[in-house]
Amino acid sequence: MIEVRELSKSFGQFKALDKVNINVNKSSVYGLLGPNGAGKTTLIKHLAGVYRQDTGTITIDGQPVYENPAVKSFLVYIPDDLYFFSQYSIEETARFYASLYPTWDWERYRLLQPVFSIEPQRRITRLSKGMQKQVAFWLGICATPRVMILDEPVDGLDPVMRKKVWNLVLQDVAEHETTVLVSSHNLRELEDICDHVGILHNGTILVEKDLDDLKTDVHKLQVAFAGEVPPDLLQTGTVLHREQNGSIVLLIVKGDKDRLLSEVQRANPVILDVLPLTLEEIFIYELGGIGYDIQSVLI
Amino acid sequence: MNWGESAMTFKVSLFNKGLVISDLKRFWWVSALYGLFLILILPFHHMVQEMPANNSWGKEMLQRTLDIFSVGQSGLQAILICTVPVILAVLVFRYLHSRRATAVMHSLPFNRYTLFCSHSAAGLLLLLLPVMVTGLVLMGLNVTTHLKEYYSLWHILRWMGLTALFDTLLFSITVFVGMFTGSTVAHIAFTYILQVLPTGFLVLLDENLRNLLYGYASINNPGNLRHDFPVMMLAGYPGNDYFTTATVAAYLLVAALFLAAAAYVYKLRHAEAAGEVVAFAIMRPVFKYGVTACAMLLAGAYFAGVSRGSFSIIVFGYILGSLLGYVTAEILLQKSLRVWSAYRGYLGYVAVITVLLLGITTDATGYVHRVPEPENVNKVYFGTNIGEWMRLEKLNNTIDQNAEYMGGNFFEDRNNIRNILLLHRQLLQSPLTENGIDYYIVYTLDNGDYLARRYSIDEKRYASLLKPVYESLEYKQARFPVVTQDPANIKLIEIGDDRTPKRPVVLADSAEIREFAARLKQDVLHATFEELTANWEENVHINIVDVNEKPVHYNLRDSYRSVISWLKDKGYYESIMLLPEEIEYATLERPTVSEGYKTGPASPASKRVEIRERRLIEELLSVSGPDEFTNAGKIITVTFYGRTIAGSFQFKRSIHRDWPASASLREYMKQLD
Repeated sequence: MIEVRELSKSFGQFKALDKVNINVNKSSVYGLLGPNGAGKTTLIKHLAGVYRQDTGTITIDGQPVYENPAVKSFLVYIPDDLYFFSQYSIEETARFYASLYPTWDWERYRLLQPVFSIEPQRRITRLSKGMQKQVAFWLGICATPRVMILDEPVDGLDPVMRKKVWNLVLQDVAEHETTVLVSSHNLRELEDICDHVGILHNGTILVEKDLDDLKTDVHKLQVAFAGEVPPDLLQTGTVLHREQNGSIVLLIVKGDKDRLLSEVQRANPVILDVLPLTLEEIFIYELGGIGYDIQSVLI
Repeated sequence: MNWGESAMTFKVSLFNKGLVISDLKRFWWVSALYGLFLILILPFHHMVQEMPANNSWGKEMLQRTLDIFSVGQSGLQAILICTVPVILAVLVFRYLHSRRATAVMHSLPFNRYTLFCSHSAAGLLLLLLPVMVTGLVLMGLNVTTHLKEYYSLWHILRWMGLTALFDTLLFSITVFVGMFTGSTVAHIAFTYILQVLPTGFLVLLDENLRNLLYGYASINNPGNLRHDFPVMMLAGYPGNDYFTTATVAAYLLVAALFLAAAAYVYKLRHAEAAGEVVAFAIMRPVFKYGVTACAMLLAGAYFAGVSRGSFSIIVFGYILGSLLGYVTAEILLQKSLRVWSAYRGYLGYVAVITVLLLGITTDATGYVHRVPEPENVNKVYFGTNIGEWMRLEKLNNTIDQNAEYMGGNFFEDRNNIRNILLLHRQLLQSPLTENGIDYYIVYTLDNGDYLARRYSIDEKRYASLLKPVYESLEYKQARFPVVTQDPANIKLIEIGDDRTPKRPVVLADSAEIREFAARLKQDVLHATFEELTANWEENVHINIVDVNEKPVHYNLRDSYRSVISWLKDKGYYESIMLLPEEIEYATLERPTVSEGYKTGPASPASKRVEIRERRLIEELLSVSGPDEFTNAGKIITVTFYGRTIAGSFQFKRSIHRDWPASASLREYMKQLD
């Protein structure tokens, strides 16, 4: 749905993005991760059609975004730094958006009012930052976009509201096959929501992964033996990490889970545990050296 | 409304109602205030104004309020025209200057043309609506009340049209300027700077070159540029007949072009320019070095003025000004006070300017010493008024044969051209700037080029070179139109002595006119250089009025013997001129402080000396010498008191202590101490 090819962008001498490639599938939730200053907002402003790239292509549904109202009319962008017309109430802003987005849904607007419980007559610019963010989601969801681009979306929301907002967005993904791209500098924040993750660092994409693949592929095994640890414990799979403490071995292995387990069983371990892996660990082991580099900035 | 309209098709139009309404909703108050002001200073003012008894005076007064260029009450209108369009244009396009607003507005389903057209349309609507409403109110009142006696529908329409035109013009210029910057403050500043920049820059450049190049004169009239920029135009009256249909159409076209160019620039502009002083990277050096150059020229002109043109002080001014300008520009561009890293650009600038300055001061192009060969000169202008030259030569105005002398003249006679060239060479050999009058020498060469120079010339010092020129027929023809004037075209001649209450005589008889004109012409042709450059006091005036009611003013000099004897023969002399015997007494006095500079110990209640001796009174009337009135301590004010058949009178003249005077007069002068 969203395709970025070899995108580069400089601000004066500073190269903000350097040959970035990403690919977001329809009806998926894509997490764009990266430390502050990695270029997430710059990339997102390209996706929203705000910035014009120096080189490369950005297409959504096969069409370029920049200066293309046809694409933008099914795309909603919620920036980190919100902007609403001064003097405008929520209701007035809703009417303005309704005139812009052909898929605007007034029914939803009314249904969602109790969820956010903010008076529609209130002026948006007089609301707190957190409430403004809620308004942005409220209005954004009512536009029933096919693509949502969210820059640090839940900053400033309390945990209850975060949950509500994510539920609404994910519900949209499920019901309307909405494609969502969301940026964050916090891996844990996105862990439960995203199915794909891209890590942006110093203007380049370090890695782009399907989280389900990662989770089913990489395993953390703790094995204890009565005597010596057999040297050829595993025949298949790739050992990403091995840690031995006396007769206890900790293994991070990439490979088919059932096959790996049966191989280990053959060596007759005293204990064999499959431990849960956090996304953080997967990245660190998967990426090796770079993983440690970005660990310090992501978490 | 049907919101669920097919989601697949998306109409792109240049105007978006939602955007236009958003501007109207947010900025209606500017429009309302503008309308309120206009209503108060026009219809309301007209209704409550107490009308003078004289109808034509009232007419003049009210019609003037409907003329946006006239001074006085409607100066307020000029201020509104210079501010309201700028404010509105800045407001409707302010989203371009804020990162947040830019990001959101450009992510909405519009393209830039829609954004541009919608905001422009909203701005113009807000701007012109108050003008329309005020115009309609004026029309309503004009039809229903007594106001129709003072001005007509035409005056109202003219007011509406010109106000709307200038509002639109300023609005479009402001919008255009806004596309080049990402800062609201810079937007406002650039808009006004642009208005004065072309004129200001030329003036500064001229001023600086004049200090660096001996004889430099510019014949590029900055006055013409003025009309290209509305704010400058409002600062000076362009003349009532300036606004023809063609001018109006041209200005409208210019406004449209500014808007079209703005839309195009908007399309090119990067959204990340929000927050930058200069939106386009390629314009940043232009801005940086432009500010540097202007600051340099300004400081140079200032220090030249303070130091009376000392070269080292001017160079100091250049360094100071350019450094200040450069650092300021860098600070604005980098948005940081730590700009020392940019020193290389300044060094580059200094290198270029040093080369230029060296070129100018060593006169690399030979500008200073360029004197044309006599055979290449078609004609030469010699005079003090470059504006006159401009009008006659550059603007191709037909030369009115009886035009009043404006301080200069074209010479085509070979002898005169040769003499002026000699003078020019002499001026180059002794380049001294002393007390003199600024003269322009502008050659028209036979290849059509001009060579213009300006020198400060002391007539006394260059007397031997000026004498043949001043005594030439060409000079006299230009300075004294009577030489070529056909007496049949003279309607009347008035001669009067300004010192006495006697009534001037008016010659209306054609025979008398012919005789008088012939004698005046004869006297003028005989006048010598010394007589023409002598210090005379304007005591007796001659006004020659032609059949077109156009008066030309002359002075009756003591050397015009033929005219004076004619006046005596005809018996006019005694009835118009001051006769020494009519003076009863005269007093000598040191001038009071207000009359001269406070250099000597001049007490306010100074001494007075009375003189009643006839011989001394006559001497006081005629005593003369070089006019050096700079030393106030040596000046004496003489007041004459007398009586004629027309009544008593008194008049003053100033004399100088160093002038040659008789011993008895000197005695009187001493009594003042």
